[in-house]
Amino acid sequence: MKMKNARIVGKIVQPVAWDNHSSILSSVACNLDQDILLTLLPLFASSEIEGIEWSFDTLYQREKIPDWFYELLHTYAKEHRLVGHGVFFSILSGQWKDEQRKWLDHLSKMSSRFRFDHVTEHFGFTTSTNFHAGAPLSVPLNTTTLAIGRDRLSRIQNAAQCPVGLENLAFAYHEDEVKRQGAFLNQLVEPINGFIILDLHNLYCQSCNFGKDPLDLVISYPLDRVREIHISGGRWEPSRLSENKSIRRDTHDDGVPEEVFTLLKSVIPKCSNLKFVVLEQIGTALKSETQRTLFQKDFLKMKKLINSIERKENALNTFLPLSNEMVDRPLVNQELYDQQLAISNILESSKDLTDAKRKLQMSKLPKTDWQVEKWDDDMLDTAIQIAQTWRAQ
Amino acid sequence: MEIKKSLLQAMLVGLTVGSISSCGMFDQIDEETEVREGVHEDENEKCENCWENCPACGMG
Repeated sequence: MKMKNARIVGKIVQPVAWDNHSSILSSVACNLDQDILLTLLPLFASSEIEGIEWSFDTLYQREKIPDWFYELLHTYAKEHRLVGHGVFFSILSGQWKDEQRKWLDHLSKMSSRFRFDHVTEHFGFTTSTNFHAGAPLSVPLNTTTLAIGRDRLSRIQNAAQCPVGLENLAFAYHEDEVKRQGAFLNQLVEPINGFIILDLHNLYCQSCNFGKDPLDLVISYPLDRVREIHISGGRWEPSRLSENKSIRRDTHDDGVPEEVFTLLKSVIPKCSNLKFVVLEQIGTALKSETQRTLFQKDFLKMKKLINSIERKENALNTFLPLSNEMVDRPLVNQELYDQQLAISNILESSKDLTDAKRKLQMSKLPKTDWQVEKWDDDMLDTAIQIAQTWRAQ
Repeated sequence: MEIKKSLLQAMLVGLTVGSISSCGMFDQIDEETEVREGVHEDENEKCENCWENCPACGMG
């Protein structure tokens, strides 16, 4: 870990007041996308949507944003009902890139402009050397990634000046990761009094792909740190390796499975600090009237379910920063970054699973914390598919 | 939560007139190449600029 010339540079300015909420807000992922917004419009018109989550970094290169979209964001922000959801920061990358510094600058500007109720990012590192073209994959859960993750979270909190959280990942290479992710997320967010987005469809994917009871996975998470829940749909991808087997993918392109609604009903009472439940779907899966109607039905079903659960007391943790001191130089770890580059290259260049396994064996990755020896063949094959979707062009 | 009627009307007009996607990164590409929204004309052909599985929403 490189910490040369370390000095404290960041300090959080405590906000004047934060909403010590008692109700849970039925919310939607709301980005500047024609199909998403046309789907949401009837729900906005009937005052059903109580909160919105905006991926503020997806407008990175867009110069013109319609005034009405800003007004929509401000409308929710004024009521403490707008949350920011980052996508591209790559929180557990071993290297610090200039794009990450720019991302923080952008977050700082957006936070000043909109006053997010909280800001979140995803667990994992993003494949591909192109900052805006990759999907997050898991990392070893060890002291190196813990230190880097804590460093990055403190920088996000310093830029955003509000509560900061991290979302659990759908993808895992092997069962141990699935079992340990909840506790590791807790360790990551603890120093900044951060919180967790519990994505129930991600948990559902893990339970399907590793034959686990989803409720067993739920209780492996620090539920008192859950401030936001995500629900969504996905798809079954037939295994390329074995007949009669499918991999559950978190693709956000279909309605919410009944199992996820059932999970939501069980989980809400266990999360005393929950404030937002967000329904997500991608715009390309909201083209037809049938798709839009199904999404609207899913939202109303989610809202009815949330409202049927009585909340007895206000949230106990506002997740406001207790203190936030960070060093001026971001932590980097060249060995971790080299390993991540090697994995990205293997995933992006392998023609099939056999090729990928051969390359992994020839790399420096065996007998390291990556535990490549334990990787499930179907999940490695899925990682190849994910990485190759987002290979830099 | 209640939304002003004037805002709803502005949204309706804006959405009806313009064409927008959730990710600004594609705007620059649009000018250079034709965007085929998630459509593979040939299975062996790489689908460049697909919006399908955008990590902004569908993390895969």
